[in-house]
Amino acid sequence: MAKKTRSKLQRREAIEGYLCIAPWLFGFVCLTLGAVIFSFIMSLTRWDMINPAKFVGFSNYATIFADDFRFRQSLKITAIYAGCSVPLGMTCALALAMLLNLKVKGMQVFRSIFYIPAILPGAAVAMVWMMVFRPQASGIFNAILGLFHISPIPWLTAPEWVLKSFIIMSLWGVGGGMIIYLAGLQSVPTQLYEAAEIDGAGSWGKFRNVTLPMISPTLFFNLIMGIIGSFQVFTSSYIMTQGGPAYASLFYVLYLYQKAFKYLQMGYACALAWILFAVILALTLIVMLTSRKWVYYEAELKR
Amino acid sequence: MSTDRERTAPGTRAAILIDCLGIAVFAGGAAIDGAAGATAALVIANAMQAAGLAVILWGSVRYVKAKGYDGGCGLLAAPLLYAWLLCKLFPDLALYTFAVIGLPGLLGFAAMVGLPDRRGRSLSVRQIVWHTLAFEALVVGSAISLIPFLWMLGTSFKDAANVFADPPQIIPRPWLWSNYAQAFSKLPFARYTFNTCLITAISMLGQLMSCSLVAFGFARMRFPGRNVLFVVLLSTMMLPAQVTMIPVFKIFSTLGWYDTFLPLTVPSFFGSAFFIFLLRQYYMTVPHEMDEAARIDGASTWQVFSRVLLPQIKPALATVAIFSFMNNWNDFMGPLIYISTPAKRTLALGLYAFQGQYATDYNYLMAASAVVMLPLLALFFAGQRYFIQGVVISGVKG
Repeated sequence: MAKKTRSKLQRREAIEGYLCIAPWLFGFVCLTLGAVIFSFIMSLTRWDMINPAKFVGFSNYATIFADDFRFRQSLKITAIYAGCSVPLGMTCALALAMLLNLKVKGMQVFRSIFYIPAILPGAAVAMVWMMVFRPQASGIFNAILGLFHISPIPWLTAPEWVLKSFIIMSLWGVGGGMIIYLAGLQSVPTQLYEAAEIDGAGSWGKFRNVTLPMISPTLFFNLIMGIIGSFQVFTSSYIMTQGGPAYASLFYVLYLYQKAFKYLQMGYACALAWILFAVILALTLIVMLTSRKWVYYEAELKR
Repeated sequence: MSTDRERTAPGTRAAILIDCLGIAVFAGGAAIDGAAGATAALVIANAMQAAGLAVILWGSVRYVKAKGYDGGCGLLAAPLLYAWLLCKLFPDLALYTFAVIGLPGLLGFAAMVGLPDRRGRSLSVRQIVWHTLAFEALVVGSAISLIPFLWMLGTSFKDAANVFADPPQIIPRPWLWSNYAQAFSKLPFARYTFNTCLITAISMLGQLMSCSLVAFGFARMRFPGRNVLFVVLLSTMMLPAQVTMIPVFKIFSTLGWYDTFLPLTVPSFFGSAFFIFLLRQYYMTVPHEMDEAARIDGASTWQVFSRVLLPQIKPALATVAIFSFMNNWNDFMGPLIYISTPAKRTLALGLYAFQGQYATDYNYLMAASAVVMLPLLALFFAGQRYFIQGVVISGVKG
């Protein structure tokens, strides 16, 4: 009898539990799971959203890989961007966090100055950087370089400079990563440093053997988030360059957007989205698989 | 340490080597035809000179420390010496150099001397050096970081004729407050502000309601498949939004929601994975005794949720509210895809339209940008704690 009541209670709790998560579950089934499946089916069609879709098998994918110059260009550009901005950003963020962690005077002021750019609206930020990157001496960067007798750089107008400009711009937003590192650094127990000092470790030794392993979960998190984020650059390139000059800043998502909403090739764009998903997934998996070698989890030792 | 036994300051030889290399680069650069090569070499040479100077300074400090002198005087001289060197190299930059290198160095030094460390001892010479250098690096770094901001603000007050002045005008003359009124009269920004506020407020409400409930379900209720579903929830965070973008667009336009605010607000009522995760982590820190006590007193699940647990997670709710505000206020792609009527634009989209129509009026564009940024700045300074908490929970515990 007692058992029966208990199971009745359990069933009641289960129903209430499902009710609690119902909003998310509904959204997930309709707008995520359903959409993902729908997106894959549509990637096998030719579809402009006005006329009915026409099934074409894998020909979208075939076209993309065989003879789509802009696909290769956008993937290359985005990969170079990710390959440069992620490590650079992570290094800068970590360096800033370590400087702030020295408990210098005015730490909160510095923290705010470095963090605020990371939370500002992308559209407004893009406007500001267009001004900063003005081609002649009227742009502030060129004006500063001029003080050092360096001739003006065509930041956004020359194909060989535009990607570098975007990478520089991405460094303005390292504040988010910096805050995460700072929290990670502050959670490293001071006893570990003292023990290392007794063992005769210098500054580099302490950094290499105490700091890095202890914050490796944070590094891991920032690396994955950095990769995902850098493959999804859109607003800045859409506003500042529209992919130009000579497709030198045609980021992947910008190309996807153009295919979908400018040329109305929805099926093709779905295929592009799936390739993006596969690339991000593959990179994330690679990082996760290698993480066993370099990420140190304290909890593992306690087990 | 071995410094006691060293006759000369350590690192001197390395410093001399670096300096010689610097001079060689400098000479090489001067020999190259063309200004660009020469100036690049000059910059490199300067950097190497500075590095050499730093090594000498480092060595002499260790030397002085080993011999028991007070290292203060030598340290005080370092930033000044460096500033002096830069002034010699770039005579026309003397003032800037002193402002950027010399002054923060002095300030940093002044702030550090006599400052006790965590254990209450006064700082060693070595620590003072590091702190001074760190302070200086932070001042220079934040100065660079502030350039785009200041440039935006400066431009927003300039007269149109002075926007592209060469050499650039640092402080606007005349100072035109009227640019802001002008920018707002060119496009209906008041309308855009209202639209953005409406979307942001409704979305925030939706996120708070749905995420707190869903997170409660995952944290406190036991039901079959809970852990699997939670992993599914977490993995959706990895899914690029572009994969679902087109089907979701199709769904919303089939529902007749194109060119309305509904696609921008309704999804928030289904919660978002990141916020649910964040709140669930926070629920886990609330002791189970609290809801058990309430249950014994006869509280229903809804009462446990709304009366007992919800008040406990207020700080996390504040974090969710702030991040939800930020996401919607900053969203560009959403309005770009779904909104076509000009009167329904949000601020981010309005800014883009403004740039399309008045591309040359950079002073007005910068004024409008500043206004779009302003609420976020205000929000940051009001809720700094919650911002940082949100980032930290996501990064360290995730």
